[in-house]
Amino acid sequence: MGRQSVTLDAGVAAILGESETRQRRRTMTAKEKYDAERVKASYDCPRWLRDAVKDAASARGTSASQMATLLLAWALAELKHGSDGLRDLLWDAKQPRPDALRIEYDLKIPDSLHHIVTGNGTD
Amino acid sequence: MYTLAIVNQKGGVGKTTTAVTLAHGLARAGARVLLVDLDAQGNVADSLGMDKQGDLYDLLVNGGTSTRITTRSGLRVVLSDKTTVQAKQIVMGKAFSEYALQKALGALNDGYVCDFAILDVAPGVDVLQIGALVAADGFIIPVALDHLAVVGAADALASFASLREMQLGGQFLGVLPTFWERTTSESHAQLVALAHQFGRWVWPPVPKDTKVREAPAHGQTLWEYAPDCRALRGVEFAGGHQGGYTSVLARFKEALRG
Repeated sequence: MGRQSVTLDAGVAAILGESETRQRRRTMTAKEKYDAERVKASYDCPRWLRDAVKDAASARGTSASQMATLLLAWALAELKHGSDGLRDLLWDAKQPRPDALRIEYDLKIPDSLHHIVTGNGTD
Repeated sequence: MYTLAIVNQKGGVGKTTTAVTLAHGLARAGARVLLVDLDAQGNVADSLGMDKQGDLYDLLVNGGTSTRITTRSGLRVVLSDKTTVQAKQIVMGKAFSEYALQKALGALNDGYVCDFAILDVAPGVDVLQIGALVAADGFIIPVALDHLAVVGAADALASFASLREMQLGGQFLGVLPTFWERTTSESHAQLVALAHQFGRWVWPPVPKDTKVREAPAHGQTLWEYAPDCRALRGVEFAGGHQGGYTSVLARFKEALRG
């Protein structure tokens, strides 16, 4: 309906909005539902890391985006579970940034990790 | 005293549930409330676990001025039974019949001072329905979310509007959708249709809930029988609740504030 032209009670508008989303979802294909649940996220990373994700994905017959997402989710789960390795890594990676307004630290990927991922340590 | 009429020409839309739930809800909040059953079916008595009585006949025909005490603090009632049909016929034969209820309620109010009178109006169009609209300061139209009820809502409002043109009748407060099913497309379509017709006058809906059918069988109001039920609390929604009689009460109080 053209609700733009009709003023609604806020509660009714919220209910109708939710119902419409629900109705739309019902008619979506599996691919559309999958896509609807995802957002584009953009993070800065070194070129070697991007290439490493691409290689890992290619070796397993999936997309770089899905490989990156899975690894990120795994790492976040580890972080949440209080992994000792990750705690140490975060500690080692911290580089103070007194000149930045929004952040207190840079997190620099340690060379040791770089070596493991790429096998050579070159940028 | 503020008189609120719960009206719709169509039956089975949730008028009695709405009237009983609002009346008891207001009483629980500390108001002195008089609930008046204008329906010969006498379902208000059933809903409160009381026996049907010809109180309304006594009020309209014999000039009675007494109200009936209930076990609920702050809530009194004027009950109905089949004698209401005769009362209607007698009132119809009198001059200025549309004012009979207003006059009778005014006389009651002299003896029992209440903050609210809630009128549970029978379906159909008759002298009591018109009398209720004349006596009311405001009215709510409950509309079940099914096609026929939604189509009929406009007719109901049109007949009330014609009373307003004659400078009679209370203020239209809103349309209350009832029997709302969150997950069915039909319920959604009918809510959309109502919103399209009535815009901001549509109040957040009351969810369909089996507790609404069970409570009268136990002679209890929803506040007593199932205080956490969906019909009262609404449905969980984005961290809060939407709809339900709790929000209807809040909305009613908002409407009174202006």
